[in-house]
Amino acid sequence: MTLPRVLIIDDLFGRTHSNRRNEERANLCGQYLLEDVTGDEKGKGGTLKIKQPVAQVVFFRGQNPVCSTVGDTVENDLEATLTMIRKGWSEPRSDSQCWSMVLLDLCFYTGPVTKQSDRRAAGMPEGRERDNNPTYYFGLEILQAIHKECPELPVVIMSSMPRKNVSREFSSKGALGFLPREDPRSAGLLKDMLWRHGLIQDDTGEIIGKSRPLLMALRSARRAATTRRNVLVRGERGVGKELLAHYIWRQGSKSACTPFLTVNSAALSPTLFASELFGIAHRVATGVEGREGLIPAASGGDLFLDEIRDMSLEAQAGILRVLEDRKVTPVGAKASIPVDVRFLSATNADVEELASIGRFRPDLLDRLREGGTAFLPPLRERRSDIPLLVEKFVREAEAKNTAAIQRNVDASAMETLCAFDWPGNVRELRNCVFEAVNNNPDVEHLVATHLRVPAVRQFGAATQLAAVTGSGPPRNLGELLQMLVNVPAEAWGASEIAGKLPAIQGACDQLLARMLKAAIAATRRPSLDDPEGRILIHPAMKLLTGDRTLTASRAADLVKRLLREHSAGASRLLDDPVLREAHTIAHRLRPKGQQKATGISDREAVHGTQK
Amino acid sequence: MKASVSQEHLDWQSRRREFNHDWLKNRYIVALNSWLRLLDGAIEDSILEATFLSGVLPQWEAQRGEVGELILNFEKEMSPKQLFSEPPLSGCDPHTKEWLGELVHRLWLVRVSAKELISTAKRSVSAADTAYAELSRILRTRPTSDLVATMKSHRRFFKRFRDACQKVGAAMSEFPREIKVV
Repeated sequence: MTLPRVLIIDDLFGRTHSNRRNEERANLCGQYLLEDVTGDEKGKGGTLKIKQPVAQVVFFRGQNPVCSTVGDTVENDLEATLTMIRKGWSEPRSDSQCWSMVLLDLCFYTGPVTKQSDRRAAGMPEGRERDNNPTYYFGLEILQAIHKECPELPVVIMSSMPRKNVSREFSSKGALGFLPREDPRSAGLLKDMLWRHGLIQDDTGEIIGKSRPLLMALRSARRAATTRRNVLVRGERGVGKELLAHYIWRQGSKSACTPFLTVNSAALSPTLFASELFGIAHRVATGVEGREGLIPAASGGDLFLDEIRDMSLEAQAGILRVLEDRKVTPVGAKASIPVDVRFLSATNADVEELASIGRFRPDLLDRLREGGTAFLPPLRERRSDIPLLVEKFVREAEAKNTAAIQRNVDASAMETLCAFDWPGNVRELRNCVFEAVNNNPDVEHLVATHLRVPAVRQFGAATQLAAVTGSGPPRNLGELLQMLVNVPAEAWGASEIAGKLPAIQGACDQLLARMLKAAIAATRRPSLDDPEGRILIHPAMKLLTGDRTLTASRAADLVKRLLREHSAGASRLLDDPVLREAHTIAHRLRPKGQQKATGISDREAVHGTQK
Repeated sequence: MKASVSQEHLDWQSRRREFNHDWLKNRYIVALNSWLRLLDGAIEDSILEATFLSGVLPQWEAQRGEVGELILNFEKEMSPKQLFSEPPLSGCDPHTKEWLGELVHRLWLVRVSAKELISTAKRSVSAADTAYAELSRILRTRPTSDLVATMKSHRRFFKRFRDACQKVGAAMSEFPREIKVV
């Protein structure tokens, strides 16, 4: 299980001591059961071991200097604090280092560190009058800055100030709660705060992933789970809506015996829904067996209605009645049964639109989402989860496979999997991985060619290229070349690449010709007689090849090569007056036949004379 | 209504802050909580184990006097009567200062329930003293080996003292943060 990571910004506990450990900080970790991973206390003697930590913690002082001694002057440092926050939020090195939550102190003491103040707590400054004025609390300034830059980052105040003195200030600036620092129940309180507000993974491993969009979906699901009100789960096909519904059930149910039943709404036809949902009374007719309906069976727990857009209008009316009356009458029964069911429903359709055209009852829709709506992001918005999902699916597929081989997924294969948009989301990825394992039962390494990833259609536009390579549009030629090199061509099937060579060559020719034109423009020398400047193919080719020793004849040969008469798009290139003139000059300098005499190879002609 | 701040009230506020916020709540109670975790076996900490009984716990004795003084001086230093010693009220004639100052003081005592705050704080400190004395008596005979195992049997005494300290913290937080005029 991965522990959530918390950032504590506090002038007392974030302070590093030059020659010994920060005792106050160690005690805080002991009290809150936090595993200190700040990494600045190594080698200072004394180890604190937390047996069952609630979270990992990184401490930050929010001030300058981080380690202060007598004679120093301590000042608050908002920019350094924001830089620290960004490290675990907008620019984390891996998702595991993302902040699940920030715990923020309010009052930060500044000013000179004197012998007297240092005696109170090592490295502590004297404090200025303003530090202790709630209007100017540095913690509130940090809070405001976080709220502006990272509004989704959960922040909770951790202070020894009386809560009532500061609740208005911290609430208005976006903090989600308050932890009294010295409270003996602190570990439990923090655990609760992390559950309600933190961005934390599913610790059972049923829902795999630690990307921010997924963690935010899990958080909204946990919040929805706190009541017995109905919840609507939305998301594209294959994202795992049933798993999220099950997660809501797990988070909300007090015991594992609480029922969780599922039904496909398409199965609730006008003639069958009543017997399916409400059940059939015993001895209702000869040959008909009594049966408990799904709703009475789910009483006390949850009933998951999958894809509600497929539900018949009759079934919709039946469920609405149950929601209003809190009781059902089995088919053939004379008396009704009281029920306590929470409906968790799912859809990938625009149900509001369906409601507006009369295909879904708006009053039922309102009832089904009275406890909130949880959105599951598509896989393309949580690409960083793909390696974890692939790992899980490979192990699952291996478990079902008779050959006892454990596979590694090759880096290029993983790159291919991460690059694809997966319109069928997690289900499609799972199928792809299962197929690769099943079709290659005797290999230890899954490589890109083992995967049947649907090809990316085209890569003409920079944005499409960017999607393939997982980066933004190229900002310069270097990035463009890098993206071209990284195009996952190995993953393309035969039908995708058949007959594409001339088109690729044509595109390359055009690119090279335009670069030649750019080099010519850059090396023209304007004069009074000729304001545009003469076309000089020798300096232009020197510039383009980067070869200062390039001779004029070789430059002419290269121009001829770049504007190959026999290439598919040459005639179109030579429509351009500048390129046509360059071509004419090259021919004048190096008439046909001379190239061979100079011994210039084709390769040299195209790539210049680089060794 | 907020009054201008006098030096006495600033001193009292900053001394209260140093005692209650900086020492008691931020450090002392946190250390007591950590020590209780150690006794519960939830954490292992060789430094805390080695220093708590001799270096941390006795800090109460040193701070005990400070909290007593804070409670004792509260009425004098945080009363709006203080305002008569600085402009513009310092310009009043002595007779007015005397009767008006006394009136303002008496009204303030009622307005902030000063006597109740003082007696609650005194009671909480007294309870902490009692719990501390009890602990000290138990700790007179300290074991030479396996300190934590022995101290576990005294856990309830540590907890009682920690709870009492928390009440001191809560009581000290209840005192007003500024001089309030009726």
